[in-house]
Amino acid sequence: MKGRIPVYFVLLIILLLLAFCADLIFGSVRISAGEFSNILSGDGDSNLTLIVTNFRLPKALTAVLTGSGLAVCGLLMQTLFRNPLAGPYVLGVSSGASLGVALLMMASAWFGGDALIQALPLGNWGMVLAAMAGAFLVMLLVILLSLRLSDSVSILIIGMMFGSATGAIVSVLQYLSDPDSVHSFLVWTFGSISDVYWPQLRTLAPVVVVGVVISITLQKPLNALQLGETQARAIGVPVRRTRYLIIVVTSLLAGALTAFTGPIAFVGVAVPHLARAVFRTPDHRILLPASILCGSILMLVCDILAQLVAAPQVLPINTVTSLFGAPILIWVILRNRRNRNSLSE
Amino acid sequence: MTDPQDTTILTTSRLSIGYRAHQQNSLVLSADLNMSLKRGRVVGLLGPNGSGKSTLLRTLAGLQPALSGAVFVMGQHVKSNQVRQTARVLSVVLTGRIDVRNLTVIQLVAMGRYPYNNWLGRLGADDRKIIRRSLEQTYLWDLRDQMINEMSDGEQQRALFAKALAQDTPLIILDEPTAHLDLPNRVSMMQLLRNLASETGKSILFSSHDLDLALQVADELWLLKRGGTLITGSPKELCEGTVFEDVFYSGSPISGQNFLNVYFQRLRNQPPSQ
Repeated sequence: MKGRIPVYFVLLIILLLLAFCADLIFGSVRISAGEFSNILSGDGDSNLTLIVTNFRLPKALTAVLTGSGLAVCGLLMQTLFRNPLAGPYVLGVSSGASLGVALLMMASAWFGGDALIQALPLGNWGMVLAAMAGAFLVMLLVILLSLRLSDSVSILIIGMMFGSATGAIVSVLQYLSDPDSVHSFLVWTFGSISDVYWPQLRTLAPVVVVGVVISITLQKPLNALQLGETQARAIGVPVRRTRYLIIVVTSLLAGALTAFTGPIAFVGVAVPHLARAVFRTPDHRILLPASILCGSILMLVCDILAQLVAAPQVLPINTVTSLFGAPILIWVILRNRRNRNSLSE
Repeated sequence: MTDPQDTTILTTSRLSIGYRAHQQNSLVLSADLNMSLKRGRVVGLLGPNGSGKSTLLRTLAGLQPALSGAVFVMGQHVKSNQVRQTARVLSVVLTGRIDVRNLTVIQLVAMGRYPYNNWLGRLGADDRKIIRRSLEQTYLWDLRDQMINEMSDGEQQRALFAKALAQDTPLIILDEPTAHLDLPNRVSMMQLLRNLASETGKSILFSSHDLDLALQVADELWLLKRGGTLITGSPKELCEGTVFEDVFYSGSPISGQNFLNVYFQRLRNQPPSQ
């Protein structure tokens, strides 16, 4: 088993590179493999080069950042709460972001704020800033509460309560708003990685990289936390500090990603299970990089499918992650169980 | 040089244990405890349910803050906010199943080296040697690649004990190591504690409800009464008089008292083998 782990990693890296290139090639404008290699060497058609460097490259990078960031969040939350259903959004950060966006899109119209927003040269930054403000607010509340509370389950419950409270406010806003702004809010909730261009990436990428690096330094306490908080403390892990760091990192990652791409379902919860099923280990030294790789590949593949399945229409990324991701995960779990049974017989 | 057998491993000074609810009303389970534990000794902590055995063990291990007073292990003040230093002088085995998927016995035992290794958890040659020795001492070396959540309660308890051994501490604290075990497993667990203390010179403090087994293996008993009184002595000393009745009834008549009287009488008639 030990010897297979490096092989799996090499395979996943090759798969990641393939998916990344495929994501650059496929889209509304077809680029053949020959043209693609011309673009890479710098003497391709100038229009196509523009499409690849200004649109497809940032989108593919965003897919990698989203996939890896959400997968890491999911793994951290599942380990901290020792709950396989936990995911990046259990702390309520994405609900905060959606509240921010809902307020911007729907409520601002009542106060004539929409005219102001249109007048400002914000582009899609207005939405990003609103989502960030909402996510940041909830994150601050969760962190403050986590300093006071000594057990993780209470934090989980409070995160869920934040989620349903903000969800209720969003529902009220939707009920009271005109159909146009409700529609544009709904489009935001579908998630999109194609509104992130180089300027946004310059903000998003450092945040995700920092979050992922911090979580990698936490692998040892994460391993210990799987035994339970008291057991972890008994082998010398500072549980409070670890929990605090985990919550800060998760809020940061989930908040930033939701702000730029909208809430993306499924990836955060499912990818850690995928990584565990492939590598069959509870060791976060392996699970963290495995989740990063699997998450990136899954997001890239989902983006390719979103481009191709209903071409020339592009499907919302959220529907693709759930529709195509869920059966994959179910298959993996069933296959895993069969192996387990055949071993014990 | 003092005789190493007389080295004191654990002392407490005016220790009060319990739970701090709010500023004023805290629940004090036991107050002003002054006790000490010597090197290589096996100590059994006995007492009725609710007397605070677990609380006492958790406080001694620094897993729970003391209400007042202090615990010293190897001269080091045990504080609940200095877990890494504490984990180098004492290890704890807690009750409750470990239910982590894909975790093997050797991976679990390797976690016993966490207080010593770097942020990556890298294991050196010495670490590996200690892990192997811990597994061999608990008869788990051949089962080292088994999944921990597929093991029986008895094997899991031994694996957790092996993890504590891998922590390589002069003191090991076990909270009810024989709970959930059948009789043969209870006996062999106790035997294991006794032998390891004799062979390695480690001090072992365990809580238990198995009065008869504890009398057989312990050098010393700590009897904790409901209300917080702690009575200490060798099994032989405590078999004289009516200490057990005193500790376990604590004043209130209970049903089945006749049966218990017979049981205690029988324990006293079969004094400990050593």
